Amino acid sequence: MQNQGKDFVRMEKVSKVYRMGEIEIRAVDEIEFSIDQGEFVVIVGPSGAGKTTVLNILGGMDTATSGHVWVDGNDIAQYSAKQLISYRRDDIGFVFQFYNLIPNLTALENVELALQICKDPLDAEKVLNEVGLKERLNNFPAQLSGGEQQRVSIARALAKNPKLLLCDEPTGALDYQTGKAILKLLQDMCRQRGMTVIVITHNSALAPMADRVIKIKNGKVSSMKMNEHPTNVEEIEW
Amino acid sequence: MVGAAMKKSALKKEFVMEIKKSVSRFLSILFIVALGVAFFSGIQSTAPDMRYSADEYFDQHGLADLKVISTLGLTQENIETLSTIEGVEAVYPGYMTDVLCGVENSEKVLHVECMFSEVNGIDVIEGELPQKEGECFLDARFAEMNGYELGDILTFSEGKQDGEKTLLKGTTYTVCGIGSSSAYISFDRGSTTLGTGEVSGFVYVLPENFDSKVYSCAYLTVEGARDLTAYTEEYDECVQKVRDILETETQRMGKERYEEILSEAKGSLANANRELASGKRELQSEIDDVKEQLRSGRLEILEGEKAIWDGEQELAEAKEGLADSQMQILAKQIIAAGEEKINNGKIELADGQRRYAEGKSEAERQIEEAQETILDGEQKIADAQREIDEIEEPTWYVWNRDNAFMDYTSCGENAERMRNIGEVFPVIFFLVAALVSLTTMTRMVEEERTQIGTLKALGYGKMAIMWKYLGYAFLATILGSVLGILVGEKILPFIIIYAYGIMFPYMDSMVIPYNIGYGLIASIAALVCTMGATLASCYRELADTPAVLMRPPAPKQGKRVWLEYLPFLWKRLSFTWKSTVRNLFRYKKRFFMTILGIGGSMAMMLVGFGLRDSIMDIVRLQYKEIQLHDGMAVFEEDSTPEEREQVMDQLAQMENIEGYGEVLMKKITLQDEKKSRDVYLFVLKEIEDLDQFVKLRSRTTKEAYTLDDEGIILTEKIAKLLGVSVGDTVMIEDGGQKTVEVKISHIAENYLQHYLYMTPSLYEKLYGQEPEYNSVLFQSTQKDTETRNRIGEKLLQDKNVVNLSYTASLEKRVNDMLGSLNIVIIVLIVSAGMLAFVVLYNLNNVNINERKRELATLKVLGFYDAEVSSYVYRENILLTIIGAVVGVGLGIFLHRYIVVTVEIDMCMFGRNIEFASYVFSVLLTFAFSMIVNVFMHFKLKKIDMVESLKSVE
Repeated sequence: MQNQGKDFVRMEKVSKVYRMGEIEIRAVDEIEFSIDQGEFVVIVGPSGAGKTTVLNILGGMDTATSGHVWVDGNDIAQYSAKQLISYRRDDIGFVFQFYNLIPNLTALENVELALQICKDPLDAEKVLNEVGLKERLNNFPAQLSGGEQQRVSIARALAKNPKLLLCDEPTGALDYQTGKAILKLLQDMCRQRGMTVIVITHNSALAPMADRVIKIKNGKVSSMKMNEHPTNVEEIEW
Repeated sequence: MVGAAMKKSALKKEFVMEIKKSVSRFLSILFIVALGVAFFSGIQSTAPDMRYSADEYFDQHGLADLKVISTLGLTQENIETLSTIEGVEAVYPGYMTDVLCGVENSEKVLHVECMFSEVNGIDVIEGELPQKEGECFLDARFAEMNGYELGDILTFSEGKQDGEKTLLKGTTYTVCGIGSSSAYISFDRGSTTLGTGEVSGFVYVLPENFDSKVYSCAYLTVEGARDLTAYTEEYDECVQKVRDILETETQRMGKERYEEILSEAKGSLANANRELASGKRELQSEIDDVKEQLRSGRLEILEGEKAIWDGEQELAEAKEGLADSQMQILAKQIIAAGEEKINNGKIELADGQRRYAEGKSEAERQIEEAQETILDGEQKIADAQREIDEIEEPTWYVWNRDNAFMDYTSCGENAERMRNIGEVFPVIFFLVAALVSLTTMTRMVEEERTQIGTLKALGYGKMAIMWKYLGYAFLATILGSVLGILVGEKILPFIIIYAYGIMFPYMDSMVIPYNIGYGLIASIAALVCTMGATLASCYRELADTPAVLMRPPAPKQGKRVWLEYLPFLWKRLSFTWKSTVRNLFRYKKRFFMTILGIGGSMAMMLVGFGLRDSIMDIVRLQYKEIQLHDGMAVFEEDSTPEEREQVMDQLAQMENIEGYGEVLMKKITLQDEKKSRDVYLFVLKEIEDLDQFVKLRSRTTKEAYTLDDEGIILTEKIAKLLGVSVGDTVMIEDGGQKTVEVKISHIAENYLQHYLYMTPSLYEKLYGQEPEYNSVLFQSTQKDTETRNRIGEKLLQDKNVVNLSYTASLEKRVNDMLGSLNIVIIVLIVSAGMLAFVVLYNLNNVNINERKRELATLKVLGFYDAEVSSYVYRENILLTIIGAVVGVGLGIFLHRYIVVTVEIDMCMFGRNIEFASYVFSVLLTFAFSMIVNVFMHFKLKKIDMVESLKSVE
């Protein structure tokens, strides 16, 4: 792995606290970790540990109550709402568990949707080809299988040419084989394009495929491990 | 049992929380139901409320139910007979007559009636009721328009010939009070045979002011009618029953009276004849006497002459016998005596002869005189006989309120019109409201499918789950209905009655009860809609297994839209527009509802503005394009043609007169099988000039019509009212003349009043005499008030000009009257606006809730708030455009319907909608759309990405 872009992403004493009357819920409790550029990171943890919250904060969809979030040298925790939108627009690619495609647009159009607001996008068709959807460009999401939809989602995220690719349980709604294929795709994108990919899952069996594994428990990092030689996804069985 | 109790309370709590959580949805259903119910029940209530209000006024004033008139008057016996008739509550006999009232040269016709204390109540505005003879109570409107005040002295003339008997005792009356009468609720005062045929005002005086052996009329009240409401079928039937009886009775009374009068007259004539006969006999016997005297006189003279002759004989003999001298002195004495006697006798004879001659000539003269008198007497008797022969059987009229009281019918017709509007308008409104609440409830249930699934999985029964939604719908609908009824049934009728009230200025009763019936209908309909929709939706959801319910619903299919098959169009669209178009067609229900909502409110706005156009325009069209005279001067009734020529000459000389023409304008009645209507007959002397004063043309094609001798031209509204068209014939009834039949050559555009145009030649052909022109129309060079007044003053100086009317003042009066409709229009527009707003807001709300996920994704992708909003706006704008187009079509149709229904008989509204109205309606619709969009923007901003994208964990 390249080491330029060290500490490309760094969370510094980040907390997310929900206050409802007297009740205080600490979704993320002074969490700290850092990620280098081009890494494939897997964040694991049980339900309710705070993984999604971390991803949301990283993705600019949610704001931290306290702390600093450095992304490529910028503290996005201080961003205004508008700045966050620009951040999401230009720097982030998001892949959801439930794909969240626009049902009224074809696969190609779904990707184009994201591109029309991008500063420096890639070509939609090309990216779709790369994710293996050459034959499905003009189909609506309802006409695509789960895996194909997720590929579109990934293509949409990738075509934006973002700094960070964030994936929240990308295989959660997919079967074993398909899920594997998707993960392989993500791994390949990471390796081929040098994109920083962060994947959230509660399947700890996936840990070997990552460069860095962050375990989150009760809103805090319980452990962080680096894999010197990440395994290819095809070789992992679970 | 703890479990059960907990179950209930948990669900109940959930129910309350739901309402609190989605307050805006709850309120939006509430308000739209309120609007729909308010409008529906409000407008439906208006018609009966108008009737109640009118009835209250009539009952308060004790307005009679029937009026009986006879051409020969009513005797005291007639009155008593009438009061014994079954169903008649009371009879109030009275007197009435029409008079010309002149102050200087402005003669108007007034209808004078005697005051009643118990029936046909009058209201004093200024002064007091008449207390004694010589005082009168004046029509407030007449007083205002002609500048009369309390204390003024009015001079009345009944227009009778010399020697004819007048009904009123005096000719001058002091105005002791001014006010209104329940017999004249609007502006019409009736027609007459005096003057121009139009009555300008009414006057009430005490019965003592009338000098007549018979009553002119009698007002009757019908038993039980007071408790019924005017203008309803029950009332009409109740009164008609009595009216039918009366009509037969009065026929009989009529015959009796006829016989009575006839026998009276015949009796008088018989007396006269007898007197003549005895007179003749007396004369004859006197003539005989005189002849006898003359004869005996002659005899005496003859005897006298004989005696003288005898005497002279004797004397001659005596003279002869005087030869003997002894007797000479004695004889001389005797002879002297004898001669004296003869002389005396001769003198007497001469005297006697002279007296005889005198006596004879005197007697002859007297006989001549007597014979002349007898001749005269015979002539008079012959005349009287002819008159008696001419006495017709009297005609009796039994009038119900429609005929007896001016404008009574039109008041009722207004209520009818509101009823008609009430059948169409509120239904549309309600439909839209219903659809919107329907959608909202359906959406709500669909949104909660996860929860429903969960509850089902937990083991709750269908009913337990459903009652939350049913309860929600029920509560929102009931509250909305109650609000709608409370507000709608009071406010809407109030506004409308107030607006129409301008036509009936003294009817100040406003009875606006809650007509629960309508409110109930509307509420039940609303309930059925919302609860029905909820029920249907619940059943649909609950049909699925809990597992299915707890999974997110299968997203709606993306489909190709027909537009895509037009590649040249489709390629042009930026793909956000493509998405918009696809979205529109995907959510079909929402598509149609929005179109309907926007279309409906656009239509109503268009109707509102269009009504204003139709109504406001008629004054301009009527007085600037159709009737072109600036004023009309009416001649005195008895003016001679030479006197009229004088006035015409004056007009010719005046510099500010541009044109003038003599015309016969009077009110006549047109008859068809079941109706009769008043129309102005218009005959212009110089028929070639007609175009200068009147433009007769078709309303639709503007094709100009020429008036010729073949037939008449009738104005459009009256033709419609009578149901006649070109080529049909109508009967003209004109008070003093015979009834004639004419053919209609054309039907002309006209907006105010009704006119029948005829050429002088046709008139002559029909009536056998030239028309008696009674007025002159004129046009002034300048159209300002000063010029007008100057012309008027000059004309009125001539004593043969008795009345002057100006078109400009007429224009103003009509404009004022129509101004009342402005309020109705504003009500329409505001309601339409509210509807548009609520519909759009609601639909947008629903729309956004449905697509939260989609919109959140956009946000995640980095779309700015503005961009997210415009994603939604685009659809709104397209929908608004399509809705507007639909609305225009619907609006034009509705407008036509409303205009025809709301018209008053005496005028015709334009059927046009100005371009500006379209513009305004469209602008307003878009404005509402924009406002809603602004609200939506804030709502969109608040969409929490995290929440919306939460996976079902």
